[in-house]
Amino acid sequence: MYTDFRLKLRDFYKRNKSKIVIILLIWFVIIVINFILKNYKGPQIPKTSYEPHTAIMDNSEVPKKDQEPIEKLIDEYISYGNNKEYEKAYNMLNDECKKELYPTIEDFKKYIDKVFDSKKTYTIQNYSNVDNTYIYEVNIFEDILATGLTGKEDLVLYSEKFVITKQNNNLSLSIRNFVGNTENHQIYEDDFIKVEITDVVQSYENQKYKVKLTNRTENTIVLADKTEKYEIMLELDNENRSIQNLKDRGIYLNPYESKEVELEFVKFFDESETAHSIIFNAVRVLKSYSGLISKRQEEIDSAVKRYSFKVQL
Amino acid sequence: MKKKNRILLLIVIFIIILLILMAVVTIKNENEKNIANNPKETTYFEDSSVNKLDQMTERDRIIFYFSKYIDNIENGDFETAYNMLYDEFKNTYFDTLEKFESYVKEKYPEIISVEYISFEREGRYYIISVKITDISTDESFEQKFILREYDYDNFVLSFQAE
Repeated sequence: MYTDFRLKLRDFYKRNKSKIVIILLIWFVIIVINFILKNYKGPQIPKTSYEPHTAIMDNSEVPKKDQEPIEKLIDEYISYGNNKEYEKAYNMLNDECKKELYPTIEDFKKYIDKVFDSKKTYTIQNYSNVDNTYIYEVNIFEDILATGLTGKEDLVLYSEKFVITKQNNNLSLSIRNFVGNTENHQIYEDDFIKVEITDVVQSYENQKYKVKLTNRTENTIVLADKTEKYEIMLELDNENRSIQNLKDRGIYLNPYESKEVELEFVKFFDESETAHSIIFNAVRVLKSYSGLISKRQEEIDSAVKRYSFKVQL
Repeated sequence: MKKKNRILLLIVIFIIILLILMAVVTIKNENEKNIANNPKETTYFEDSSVNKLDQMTERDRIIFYFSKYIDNIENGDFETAYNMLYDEFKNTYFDTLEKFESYVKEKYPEIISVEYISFEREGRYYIISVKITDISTDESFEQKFILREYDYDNFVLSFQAE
């Protein structure tokens, strides 16, 4: 039996000798190549803790193929700023950003002159990534290698976020934290007031709602004058956030007045909470309104109506 | 048959080349391991070959570069120290070697003692704040140095020229 097996084996070997040798050779070559590739250390690059394309927020990484084009884009923009090539720098911005932040090149020139008041250098750090939108924190400062910080105590930075969006393989740039503008047409109306939301401006850390308000009465309507808590809020999944940066005397409408205002709330671009409505929590329809603290209670006591409403988003 | 032999010969040559490559990679890796394991070899103030810099931390490398600059000043090798400065910085503050030499002679003591106060990084720039003391008189002053590393042992620096 054993002899029979040996004979069969020898016979098989004789018939397939060349094939077996080739297979063994290929196997050996694969092992050697694998060994070389595993052990070969390519050109050495100094290891540093600086990872400009890894997001601070969640350690996500900008796709490798986009990293160099992004660096090039930012470098080109800063270089135009340094050389005061206003038009070239302006043309690098996407249309929405231009429209929202700098409708004319003259506005943009003022910004460039302020930021690039001397030759500046910069550093970038990826901050957050949402789908194809990459947010970079860009620190702009004097060329410290050129000055050696002579005459300065510490490094003074001007910092802002550049938002780079990839669409159809093209990178589009917006600056000063601006992410985008979304049309969101919502209306609320009752016998006293009409509230019309037209646009939402998203910057990295907040949302600004552009709202048209119309007073339908012969009375003054006060929506927010900083005298009450939670006068206007943004309703999210799990919390409500109060209005930010309310100007001067707040938001009020004279009889039959119509005006456009901006309601600003903290709402990060990369957060998971969704906005559902704007709550006008302390609407006061007043027979008379002086804006004086001393007369406030008296005016409230004789109010035509006090109520609240929500505008769904 | 001749054709078969030629193919066999080619295969053998190919395998020999691969084996040589394998040997080269192994020897190279062994050498690097030996350098890393030998404490004498890693004393970075003595040698700055890429292999040794590769074993250092980022902070140690930058301090090593700075020490190189200070060593040159202490040893009176002003030209080498001058050549380590960033071009634009040189042009602004020390457009000639003589100006640099006279600044250094006036500013720094003969034997320099350096105490590191802070080490910061802003992107690819490193800012080292040091306290420089004259050992003979105990007088000291603080100064900031800016460094940028382009590759192992390839760097430029500047400082508060005051």
